[in-house]
Amino acid sequence: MSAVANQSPGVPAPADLVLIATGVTKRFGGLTAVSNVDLSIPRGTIQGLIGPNGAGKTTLFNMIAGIYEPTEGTIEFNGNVIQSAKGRTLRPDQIAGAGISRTFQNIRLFANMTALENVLIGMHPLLKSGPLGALLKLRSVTEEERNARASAVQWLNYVGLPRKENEIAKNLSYGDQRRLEIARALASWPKLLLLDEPTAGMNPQETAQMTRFFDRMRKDLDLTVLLIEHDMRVVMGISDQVAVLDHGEKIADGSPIDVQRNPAVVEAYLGKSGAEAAIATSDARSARSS
Amino acid sequence: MSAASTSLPAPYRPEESWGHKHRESLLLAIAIAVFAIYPFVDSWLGFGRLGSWGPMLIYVILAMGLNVVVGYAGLLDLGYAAFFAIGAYTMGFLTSPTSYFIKAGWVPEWMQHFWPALAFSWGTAAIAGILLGAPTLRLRGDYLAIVTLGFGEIVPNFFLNAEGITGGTAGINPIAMPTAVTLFGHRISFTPTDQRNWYWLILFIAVLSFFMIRRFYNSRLGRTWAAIREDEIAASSMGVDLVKTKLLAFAIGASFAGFAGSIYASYFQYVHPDNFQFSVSITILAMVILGGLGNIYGAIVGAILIGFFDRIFAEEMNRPMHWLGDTLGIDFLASHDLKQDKFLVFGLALVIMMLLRPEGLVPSSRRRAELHPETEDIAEAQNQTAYDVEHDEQQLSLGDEGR
Ligand SMILES: Nc1ncnc2c1ncn2[C@@H]1O[C@H](COP(=O)(O)OP(=O)(O)OP(=O)(O)O)[C@@H](O)[C@H]1O
Ligand SMILES: [Mg+2]
Repeated sequence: MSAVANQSPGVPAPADLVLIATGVTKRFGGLTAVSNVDLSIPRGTIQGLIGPNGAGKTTLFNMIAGIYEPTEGTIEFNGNVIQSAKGRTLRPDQIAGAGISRTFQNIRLFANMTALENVLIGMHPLLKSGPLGALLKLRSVTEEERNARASAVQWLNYVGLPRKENEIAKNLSYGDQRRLEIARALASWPKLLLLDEPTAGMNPQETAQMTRFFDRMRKDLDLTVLLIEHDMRVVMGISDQVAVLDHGEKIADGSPIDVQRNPAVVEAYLGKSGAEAAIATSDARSARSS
Repeated sequence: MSAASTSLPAPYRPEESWGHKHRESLLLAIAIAVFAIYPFVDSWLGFGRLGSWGPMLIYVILAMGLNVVVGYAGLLDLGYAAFFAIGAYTMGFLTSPTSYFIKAGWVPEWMQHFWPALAFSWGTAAIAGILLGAPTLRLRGDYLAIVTLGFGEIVPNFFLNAEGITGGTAGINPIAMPTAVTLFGHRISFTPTDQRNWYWLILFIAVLSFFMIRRFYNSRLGRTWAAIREDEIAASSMGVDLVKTKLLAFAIGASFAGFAGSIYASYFQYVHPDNFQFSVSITILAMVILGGLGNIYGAIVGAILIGFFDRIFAEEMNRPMHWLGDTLGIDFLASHDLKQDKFLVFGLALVIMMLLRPEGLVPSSRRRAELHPETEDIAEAQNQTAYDVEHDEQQLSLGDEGR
């Protein structure tokens, strides 16, 4: 209440930022996987996160999702601290309940459960029925279960898996498994969706289709998205902002065009000599086009 | 839901078709009816085996309960007999005239009867499940199994050594019998000499346990058990509270051992620490594995098979074997008791099972999918060929049309 009263008009309200990470560091023994990273994501945007292999992208994700505790720094979600090196850290299930949902870089479906059951587990935070209600077979429980199943079917349709409800997850094709992971993540109606290389292993057509789907999904569902991607066309095509990690440090953050031109970024990706060449050609190209 | 509005309306297909569901209910009703009329069959045909079926149905309750922990939630529990013991001793403490607690005046009069004590044992075992489960929460696989093994040793030893309360090696005796109930004008009383009513009583508790467990399994909770068994990190990232889910598995699993223990105590009128040794935990586990981990019907089949061997088959086979030994003059056959070989047979059965059919006699669909990925591929390949053939035929017919 007081937070609202304190806001002066004109200054963007902090509430417009869904996620704020401040000085986040993660060390594994001697290795600093993420080093002093700041990140803020405005509501309703797609924030790209790129960087070479081993840059610390997934580690940052895992801290937001509560799998790892940060060694230093804090992470706020919707104005509440969810991770803090000193104070309170929430468990992954609490973070999911708060409205952050995720997919995994290496698909982690419930492999021997059906597609429908996978989505139903994703819906877990929205469901209320407890063991006693199940034992007594209360009408509210039966009803909730029936609605949950119907809406799980709709989520499967939404991500493009119609009539796959009863397929065992591991028997789905690779691309369909990626889709199922997204359906499972969406089923809890998250505010913030974390996608870790969702198009990895897909062919160019599938990738293009997925990219369009992300854009549609963000609009349909009022989502804010944090997207790790290796495919530059995907990130640059749909991100509002792109942050770049290299060796755990954030070396750039800005609009896709700025980031693409940033010499430090090009260097991180291509090495020093390659970088100079690339900048020369891109300068030449932009000079020609203007 | 805006997601729905942007996609095609989907036909809602429940997981199991109506026919499937009806078939299951029908088979279930037949099975229960067969069990219910068995006492008449037993006396018509002069088997005289009703006394063996009571304990076998107690095994069935135990196997169904352990299946919740090991089969559904994937938590390997090697000390399940501890909860069996807790259920039995609770019945003893609450109803035996020699009970320390009754003498101390801690048990209200209304509680000193079979039925309230049965319900109380169910709850006590559930709470014990939470208390013994809590320290194991951070452990996985082998480590979890070792800690539960420890608890399985500690609990009977505690009952053995706490002589002042439990009577130590003397055990507790006698224990309350169920008070007579009047059903449809019939007075049903329970005496040590009337096996029938006991059999029906145990069958009733077993059927009750079956339906309770099935409701848990088909609920949201049952689904989260499957999820944590598959992948704890993914489950917790989807909002599943691992601590709560595992503790509920331990508690619900243990509670049925509470049922089993308290009936056992009342049926045999005697509780003794030797009844709850490690071998009991292992025997129950063998039942669940043999029948098919994760499938309640598997647990029942496993329990009946092993119980049948233990209580009936070995005994029945002794006579012809002794006769054979006598006529052939082989001393070993003439004097050997097959009942002593039970662990040998259980062990052999498990080894053969693991080699030939690791998912058990009546497997759960999930376990089958896990253990036999190749069958799925074959099915898929067959579907594919069927599709191809159909496709080719279509093209052929199209070709014909064109001509
Ligand atoms: N649990 C862990 N224990 C020790 N080191 C780890 C752990 N997780 C990650 N690392 C290390 O931290 C660094 C960053 O890894 P991370 O997975 O975050 O990289 P990434 O940017 O996601 O790379 P990629 O593009 O290959 O997925 C790597 O050097 C990795 O080996
Ligand atoms: Mg990664």
